[in-house]
Amino acid sequence: MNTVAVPLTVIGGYLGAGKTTLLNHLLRHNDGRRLALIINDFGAINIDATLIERRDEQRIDLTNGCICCGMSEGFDEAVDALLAGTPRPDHIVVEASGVADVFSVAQYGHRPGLLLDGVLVVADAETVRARASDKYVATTVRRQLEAADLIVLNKIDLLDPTAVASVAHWLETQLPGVRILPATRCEVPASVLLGAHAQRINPVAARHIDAAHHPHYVSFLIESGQPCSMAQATRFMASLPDWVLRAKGYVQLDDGRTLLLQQVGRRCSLDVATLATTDATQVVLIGLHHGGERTSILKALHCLPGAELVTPEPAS
Amino acid sequence: MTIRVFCARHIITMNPSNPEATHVAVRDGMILGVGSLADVAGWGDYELDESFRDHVIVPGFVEAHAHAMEGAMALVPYLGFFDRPMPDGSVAKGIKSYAALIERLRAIDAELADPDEPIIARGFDPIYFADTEPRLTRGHLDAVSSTRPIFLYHASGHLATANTAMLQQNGVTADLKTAGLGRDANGELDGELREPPAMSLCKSGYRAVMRMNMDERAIWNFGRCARNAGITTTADLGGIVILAPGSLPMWQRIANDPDFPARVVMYNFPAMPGDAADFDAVADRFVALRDQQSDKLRFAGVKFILDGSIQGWTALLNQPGYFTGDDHGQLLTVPEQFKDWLAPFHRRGVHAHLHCNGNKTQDLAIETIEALLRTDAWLDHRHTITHAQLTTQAQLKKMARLGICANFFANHLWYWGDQHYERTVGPERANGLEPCASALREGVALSIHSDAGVTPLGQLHTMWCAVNRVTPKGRVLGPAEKISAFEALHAVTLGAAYQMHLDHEIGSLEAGKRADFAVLEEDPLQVAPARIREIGVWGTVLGGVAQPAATRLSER
Repeated sequence: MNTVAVPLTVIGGYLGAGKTTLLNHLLRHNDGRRLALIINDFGAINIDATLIERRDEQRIDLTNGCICCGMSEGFDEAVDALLAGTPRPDHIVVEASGVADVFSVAQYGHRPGLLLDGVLVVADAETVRARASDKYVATTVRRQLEAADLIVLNKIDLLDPTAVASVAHWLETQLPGVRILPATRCEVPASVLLGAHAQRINPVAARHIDAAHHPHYVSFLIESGQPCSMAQATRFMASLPDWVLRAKGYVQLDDGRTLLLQQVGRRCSLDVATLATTDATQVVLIGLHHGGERTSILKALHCLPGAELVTPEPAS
Repeated sequence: MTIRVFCARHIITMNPSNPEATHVAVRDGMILGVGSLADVAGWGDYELDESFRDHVIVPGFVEAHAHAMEGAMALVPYLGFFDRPMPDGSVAKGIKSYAALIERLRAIDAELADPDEPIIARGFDPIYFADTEPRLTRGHLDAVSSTRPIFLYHASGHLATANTAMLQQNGVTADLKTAGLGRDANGELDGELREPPAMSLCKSGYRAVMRMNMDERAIWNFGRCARNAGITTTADLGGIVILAPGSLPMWQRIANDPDFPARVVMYNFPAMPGDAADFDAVADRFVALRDQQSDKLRFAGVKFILDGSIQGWTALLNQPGYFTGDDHGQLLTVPEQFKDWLAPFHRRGVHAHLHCNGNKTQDLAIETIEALLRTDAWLDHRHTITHAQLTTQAQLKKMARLGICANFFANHLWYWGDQHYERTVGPERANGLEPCASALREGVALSIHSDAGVTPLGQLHTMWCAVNRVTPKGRVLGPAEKISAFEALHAVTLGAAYQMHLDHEIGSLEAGKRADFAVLEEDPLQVAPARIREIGVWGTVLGGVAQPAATRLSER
């Protein structure tokens, strides 16, 4: 059984931060993925009735995926059942409870057959600082933030830009190197939340989100027809600039092996790929647009022989 | 209807109006009268039952915090540090060293005919070996067998240790990135599996353990363990009838079987601990569940877990926090929402037992109940904070005012008392653990419990803990918090019944109550306090029917 590992993303965050909003957003903008959602409560999810094929107390089958609820059988068994099902999901998204230790939940993403994609923690821009020093929940909230690969700083429309900058700065001080996605109603492109679609490494169309103070996202494709050394690949990964939220792709080595490169926020990995879908080096970068991205990529680009930067598609 | 009159050397009734007796008349499972033979003879023709004339009868013990998991302990080998009573009346000897552990496992290995059958064992707790042995790793278990898979599930439920064959059988290799996989200095797996994501990688071991808690034999054993300890009514404080549809018919089938030797009072989880739900709808289901009750199986209330455990460093402690080690406080409710979670039950008259091991979550429980009572009066709610091990004097005063009951985990004084003194909370707070005397002084309704299968079912042992407060190393923790044998007996009979709103039916021996007795070899109020836990238990009388303990059964 040598099938492609299914990516698993954990969505955490304290009560009221917007986890359910994020799940609803993903259900509407799934980029054609078959999503399997593991959630706490069906009641909070908005599902288009026309998408529902079948439902019972514990599971809803959709035309483009499924939603599971109720983990009394054990989380490990629920995940294994999803992997054994036909068709297999393209991506598993787990909603952790508001007080869950998301780091621990994320460890299920290392089961054989799965690939931990990342931990997204939704933070309420208005309340996150107060919660992080609350008598009862400070430890819980801080532990969640520390486990985050990416933080969706939600509800920024409720604050003036100075206040948003202030809370973002506070998060950066608390969590050095953390990547923050400012958002309203969790409107962040699926390619940022879940990464480039597993089946196709292509330049991912960065979505333009209206409202002037919302960020724009950009994506780039780096390609090379030449293999490189392990040292070069390692140096390339280490040289990726700070604005990169996600990087994913394959790197061809001169010894014939292929590496799978993955970066989600602060966490990156370079592993020997068992099933590569390409024989060229191709890495997609997705990041927050702030100007000057091309220049800052050059340093990393120079680590890989023959590497070229493919122009990003215009934002859609 | 036949009237049966039981006579005994001595009967302690726990009824303050009529505290002592020699005879009790029973008809149709109910008590007609308690007193001398002359006092009860007037009810009509009777059969005099003299089987207990050399025994002491007390009200059937009531355990307000136990779990049916107790019965699962006997399904596989027990490898805990302390001796443990088993449902068949035998005692599994405690394991005091790794050498003894390996020897025991080798004996089990030799007994198994099928060379591929895994050994799955429970009860091991590394905290007792912290001073004497290194961390348990697969090397120790490989010394038992290099071919037979072995899975040692620890007492805490948070850890397991696997041997190499168990890791190989499940394809658990060093390249897996799961954080809970223990490793040696070279990065090789050492067989320790921390928390469910890592433990569940060893499917053939972990799933067998998980299935045991839903095994019918475990529930039967639970009833037998209760009977052997003189318990006639026990809570199952964490039922999954609401969460798992198959659970209700299974419980009904077993508990209502006339041969099942105890009454069970279930407190079900309304959702997975920590998860939100539509609690109004869930509370309606709790009310509807009452139609499914019988005199053997009750659905008394709702259970919420607010934090972890002190000895796991996962309870939420107020300042100054843990004495040594890192605080891994695990909050299992959403404080801002907790009032909304509890209110639907409170408003429907479904009372709650709230697990708080740390005094910080206990603050939350007290504040939440106080807030509920401001808007929704219920003078007789009897909401209970269970475990409540580090309850402060200030908390006791509030609890008394608010009518909140305390069910202390008295067995901790013995099982983890030394660890609390030396490691978790330090001497001062260890001396204040399970403050039974203060609770009674402040007027807080008191019970004490075993939390079986965390520690074994046995109310005489639990009484002994509260009366003596001694530890295995010979410390006496907080002598000022000792209570008398009578107060302890009250706590494990009427005190527990009160916290389940059942004190009008059980908990004392008086006319109109159920004929539920514990039949003892000696008088717990007369023996030296240090000997309370050594008192032999003949068995019980449940609804007027004698239920000999397993040791008695085998003598027949």
